[in-house]
Amino acid sequence: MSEQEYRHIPATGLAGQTGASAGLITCDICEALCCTHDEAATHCPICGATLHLRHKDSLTKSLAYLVAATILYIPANLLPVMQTNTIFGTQDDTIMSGVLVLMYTGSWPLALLVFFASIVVPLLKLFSISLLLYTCSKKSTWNPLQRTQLFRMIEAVGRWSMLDVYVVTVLVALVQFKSLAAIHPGGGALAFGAVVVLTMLSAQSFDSRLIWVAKTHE
Amino acid sequence: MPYFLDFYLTLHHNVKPAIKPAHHFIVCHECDLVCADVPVATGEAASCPRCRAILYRNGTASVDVALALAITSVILLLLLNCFPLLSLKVQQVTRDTTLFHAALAMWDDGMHILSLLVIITTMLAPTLQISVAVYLLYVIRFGDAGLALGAPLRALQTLRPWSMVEIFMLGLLVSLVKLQHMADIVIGPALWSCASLIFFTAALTSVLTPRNIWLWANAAKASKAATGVSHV
Repeated sequence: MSEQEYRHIPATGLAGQTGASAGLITCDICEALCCTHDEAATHCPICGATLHLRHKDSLTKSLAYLVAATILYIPANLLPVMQTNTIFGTQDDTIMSGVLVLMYTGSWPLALLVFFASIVVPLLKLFSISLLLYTCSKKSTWNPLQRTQLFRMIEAVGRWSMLDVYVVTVLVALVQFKSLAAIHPGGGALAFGAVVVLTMLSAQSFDSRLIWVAKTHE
Repeated sequence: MPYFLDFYLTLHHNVKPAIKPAHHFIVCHECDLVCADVPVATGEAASCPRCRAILYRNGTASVDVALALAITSVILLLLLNCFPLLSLKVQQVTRDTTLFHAALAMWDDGMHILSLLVIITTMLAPTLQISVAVYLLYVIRFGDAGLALGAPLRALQTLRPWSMVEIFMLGLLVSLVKLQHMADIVIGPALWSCASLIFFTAALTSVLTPRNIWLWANAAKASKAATGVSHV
């Protein structure tokens, strides 16, 4: 379904208002509409989750996870993710060399896929979240729609970076033929897994409603 | 989420008219704009006029369809966990691995945290997610619908991003290509169940939206109050 086929619905009565100014909150968990006029209403009447007008300390938490992820991104790419011991010798593979091996052994579409999931997506996430955090802390009015779409995209593709961790897991489990051939995991895989989890947590703590804050206060 | 699956399901099942939501407004969960909550036609979705987030899709999928998908997922999940994924044969030596043994191999190599990460994202989170879905749909369909809201709904939403069976499947395919030069590979039953599981869980996720859950639960409660029999 293309974007045009969705029906765009204008709000009547409360047109143009935000939930915050109208006294309404959408529950973070179950997306149900809740009222804030009642002082006691701190929990969603449907699922019982704690209600937040905005995620608490969203930018700070998101930044903390992002800094940790950025630091770990360096060992994730420099340290080997796996070590192959064969009768011909020992070979260390990093994320990038894994992609190159896949390309030279003839399956370039798969190499492209792994390149995208393991190299492009993590970098894109680190840059995009930094951009979003910077513009939101400045309450920028620059292209809120595109920034929201960027956030939606990184939330959707972020998990796919786990691909390399699973490849290493399967290879380590299968290739264990004593002296003939054996694969062992390397420190890079641990750092890489940590980068994926930390960037996911960073995106989860970011509150996309903050992108629109400056616009509504004008 | 694969929207076409939801659309397919709505086409091929005798669907009751969409249940009316309780409010006239909805607040966009992504940009906080107040929007009107109006019914949309089958196969359509309502999106936020400001940030284009999809607010909701036509909620015509029934509890029965969701329950069938969830039970199928349980069976496939059991198969995935019990049988070997791949076997490798090098000079009369055969080695196969199940999902759990793959994670254990990581543990034995000293990568304890990574092993736990694999267990959580490919075994624990999917298992919990699917069992919570079965429980939640069961109580809406046959029991006290009020039990479905609250903790089960919250758990389902929290677990959702951490269940990564589909990514594991792609990882399996990449390893398959990497191994094909090395040895003879035999594809195990678990690989096929993994492949079908991702379709069923995707369909389940697209049907089991929080909005659908509370609409179903409200309708079940209302019909139970009216007739004394729980039927959605």
